[in-house]
Amino acid sequence: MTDWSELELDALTEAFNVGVGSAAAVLSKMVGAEVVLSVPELRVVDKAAALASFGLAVSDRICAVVQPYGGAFESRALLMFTEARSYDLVRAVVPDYMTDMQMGDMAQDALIEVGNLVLDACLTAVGDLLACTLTTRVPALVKGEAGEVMAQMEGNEMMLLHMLFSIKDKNIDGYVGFLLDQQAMQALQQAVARFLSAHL
Amino acid sequence: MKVLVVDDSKVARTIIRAVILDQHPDWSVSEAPNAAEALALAAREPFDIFSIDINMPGVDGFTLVEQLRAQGAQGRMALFSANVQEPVRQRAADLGVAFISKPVTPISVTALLAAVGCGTA
Repeated sequence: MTDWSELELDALTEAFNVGVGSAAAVLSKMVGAEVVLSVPELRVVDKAAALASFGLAVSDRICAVVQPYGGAFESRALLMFTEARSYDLVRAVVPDYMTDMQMGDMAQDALIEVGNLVLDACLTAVGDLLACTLTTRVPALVKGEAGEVMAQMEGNEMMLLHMLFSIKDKNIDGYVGFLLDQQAMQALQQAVARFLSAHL
Repeated sequence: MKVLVVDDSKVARTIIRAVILDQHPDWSVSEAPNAAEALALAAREPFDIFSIDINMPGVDGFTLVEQLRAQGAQGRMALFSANVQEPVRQRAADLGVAFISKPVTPISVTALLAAVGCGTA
């Protein structure tokens, strides 16, 4: 496991804060209400330990928007929700007059749209902080049991941001994760260390 | 001028402080990682400028502005936040404090100083 100092994680958390904040500004316009954001917490964990730190059991059903990206670090970014929370999120972002049947068709698109928005904003903020370019590719939605979804993903270390946000009185727990192999994680850490030594 | 920077991120506080001292080497800049420490520092000495983060563990920046005022703080205040939603900006305006968007960079810190009436130009 890559060992991160408190300051390195602090710098990245600030970047994620900016990313989540700018995504929330767009979401807030989409839903016509304020998106209340919690203070996010960032951790680096083994992929195997990621589920437990999500508070998830391997058999829990989850929904993840997976966004591959390239550039300075080749990796995948994920926005994960439990399936129940994903319905709350879709309900919050699609218009009230949609029936449940119409919703079924739209749910997938709505989740991908929100995922793309949040992940793109986070990647942009991290790229801006570290003065490097991260290019996003087409996102996809993956559903299934948490253990299976994680097993499908490449990469053995995960940088995980737990965020809580509420929209229209619905409390939604989301997790933003970056799955990186050790080489990419080290490259990311070196970039953060360069940023810190240039600015502190 | 005496400045108090309140932010739970040490990196954010350190960069804000460095940019201010770079532009104004004769100013003094104090730091607090949360609202409780900010209130304690402000009770001991007056500050001319407050830079306050919004999303902090415990008491948030909006509440801190009200608590500082209730405690008699006279300095000019700016909220410096990544939460850039319109309702958040509006709440800052309702409180009569400046709002500056993160990220923390020399440009945004300079904008903060200008917003509290201490621009260099």
